[in-house]
Amino acid sequence: MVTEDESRLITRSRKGDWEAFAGLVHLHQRMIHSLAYRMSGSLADADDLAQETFIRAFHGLPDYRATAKFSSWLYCIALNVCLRWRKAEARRGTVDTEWLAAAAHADAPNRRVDRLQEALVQLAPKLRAAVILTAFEGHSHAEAASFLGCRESTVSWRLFTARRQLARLLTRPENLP
Amino acid sequence: MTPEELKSLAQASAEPARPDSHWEEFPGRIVTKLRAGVRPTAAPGHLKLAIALAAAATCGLMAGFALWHSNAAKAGTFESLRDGQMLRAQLTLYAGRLEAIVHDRSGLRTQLAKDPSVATADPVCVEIRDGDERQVVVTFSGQTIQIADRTVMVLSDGGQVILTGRDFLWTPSSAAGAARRLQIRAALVPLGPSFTPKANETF
Repeated sequence: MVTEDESRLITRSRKGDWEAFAGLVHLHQRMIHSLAYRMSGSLADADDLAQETFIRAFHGLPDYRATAKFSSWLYCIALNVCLRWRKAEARRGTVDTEWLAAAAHADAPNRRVDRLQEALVQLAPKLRAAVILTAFEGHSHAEAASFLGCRESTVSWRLFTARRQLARLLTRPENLP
Repeated sequence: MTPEELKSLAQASAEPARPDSHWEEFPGRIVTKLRAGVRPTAAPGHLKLAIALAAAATCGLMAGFALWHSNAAKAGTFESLRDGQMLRAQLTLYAGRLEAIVHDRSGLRTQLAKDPSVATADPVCVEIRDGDERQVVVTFSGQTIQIADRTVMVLSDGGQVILTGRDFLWTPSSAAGAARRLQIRAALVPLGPSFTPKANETF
């Protein structure tokens, strides 16, 4: 379930080898940053969340069992960090300012795409996570349910609610950048 | 919006690009943080300012932490955290930024606000047991904490601790909603030398 290189890095990291753990971070940082950005809508906050994820992962390495993919295990940690992140709530509705500025210059068809992230951060975290896992990351409902620790039907219901809310947010004129 | 529309929008939605230097530096930043956790004397970046301002005080705090940690092993985390020593030490390091001290299966960590605007009135120590999972949080009245996937506000009223959130209510004498399946105890944490903690326990 883990590549040989990755397995070696994990073994060395468990023994407290910082450089080996830096190697693991290097391998997976883009995936974790991407999830954290989608969940927070802010590059700075995504950085904090990714940092927290890797620190938790390092301390949780003794609990990691190689029967699961390391990336999936890490992804679960990141998802939990994002879902428990209180500031995500405080900053709901705000996305990275540079990103917004870029979106403001986009043409009309692209603007709807760009506004998706802005609308996404206005959803409740669990709805947001369901959308990210399925629509952005391409996981099935069953896989998303396993990541989120809930039933498949719960994921389906969250997606239904999220799509309805996103449709409303994306058509609201005051939501325009 | 159909599932297909959402998927198509999501796949067309790009993320802001980060410079290559970010990806090169990020693993090193993590390592720096980890080093800070296990070897405080290595003086990691986020502690440098505090150490520069109060090197002697920091050494004292480290000694205090060692003593606290030793006591924690003997007396249990809840009892050790509620005595206020750890809180005072962390408040000295992170004045106005300390939101909570959390102890769970991943160890002890502090939760900090970016800006020094956290009110530190009425510190409270809460222990939550959910089956085998155990979490101890020291925070302040008015702050929110995560319990069983819920955001719960910690309040103190006349020496009594109350935890309240959506479908969640716990007082020393009663529990409703999701709080019913949890074992919770809470106590005020003394910050002053003359303060005597009053425990609210419903184990």
